[in-house]
Amino acid sequence: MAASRSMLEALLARVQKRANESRAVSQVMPPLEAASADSAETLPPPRAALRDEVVEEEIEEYDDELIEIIDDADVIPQAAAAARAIEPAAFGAAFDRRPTIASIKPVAAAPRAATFPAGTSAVGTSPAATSAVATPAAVSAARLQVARAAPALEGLRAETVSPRPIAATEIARAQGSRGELRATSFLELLDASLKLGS
Amino acid sequence: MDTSTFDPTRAVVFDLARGQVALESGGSLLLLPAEVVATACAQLDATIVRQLGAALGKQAGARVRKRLAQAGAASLEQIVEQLAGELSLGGFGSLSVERWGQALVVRVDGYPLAGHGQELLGGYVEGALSASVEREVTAQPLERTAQSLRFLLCNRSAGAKVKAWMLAGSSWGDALAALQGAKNDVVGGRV
Repeated sequence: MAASRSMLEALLARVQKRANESRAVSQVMPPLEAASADSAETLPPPRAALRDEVVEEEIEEYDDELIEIIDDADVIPQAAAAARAIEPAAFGAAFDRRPTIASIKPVAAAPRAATFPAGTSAVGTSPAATSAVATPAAVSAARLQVARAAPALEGLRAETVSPRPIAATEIARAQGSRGELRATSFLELLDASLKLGS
Repeated sequence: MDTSTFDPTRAVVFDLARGQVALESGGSLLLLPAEVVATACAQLDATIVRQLGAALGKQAGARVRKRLAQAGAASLEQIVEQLAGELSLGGFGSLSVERWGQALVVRVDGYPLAGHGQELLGGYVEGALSASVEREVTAQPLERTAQSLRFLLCNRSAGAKVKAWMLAGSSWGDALAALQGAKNDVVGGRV
């Protein structure tokens, strides 16, 4: 896809501006790790969670634009150089977007939790997830994974089919109870047995 | 709780001065180790062992008939209690009667001679019924485990059929069902 030089310059200027704004926001707000490192089970504050989502959306948007710019790098080398200068780290985001090895563990735990009956907490069923969030970076990644996995778990609601009530009926027919058998004449029973096979 | 009609009070008398053991009715007894009797049963011909058992059973049946005023009108429970009492006094085990469809089956648990004394007990049952209720019965062996035996109470012809079926590989349950012309779905009862 070819793009005119004026369009690319305008896009780069817009990206650079928004990157500067994000950096300014991250400097004003407290670090995410400091807010969450107290306890692995503490939920992130609403404000921090909101910031996570905003930054995530911005990064994805920028990625798409940067990919387009890099694709055109053979045509406009200077645009490629400018695009490389704008790395995600330059936004000042306080988390690593790519999950670390430790943060992969909660991802593996999420689908397993979906196999438990309703009411079973995914956190309670995954001790590995608790240990995986011991580091601040892992806490951030785990939050992202939980936020992504939640809609999927909501979709896995069990459908139960229970038998309908059975109408009372005579299933087995007994000829005399044990008490009646006890009181029956022995000779009567013995004669019936002696007739068999004759 | 109901108790058995069989009263074993002073049923066995130990006369140590005379060196004798006797039943209340007067018959003398010999107390023999079960292992000795088992060895004898294993060495003797099966017909002889069965006759020996029948002789023991007839004495027991006669005592039952004496205790029951009308043995012919006795209920299944009364006969079971009396026969079981006699068998217990002799140390032959615990008797019960099962009904599989129309077939009456005698079961004896705790029989000390289960390994070699099947014919002895079969003859005992036949003799006891002959003396107590005046019926000629064949006690056809159905099952033998380490300490329990089952006998079908039947006529001679039916006993031969059941024996042949079981020798051909049928289980005793299938044999009982076949004897009654039905599949093996008979419901058992036990007294």
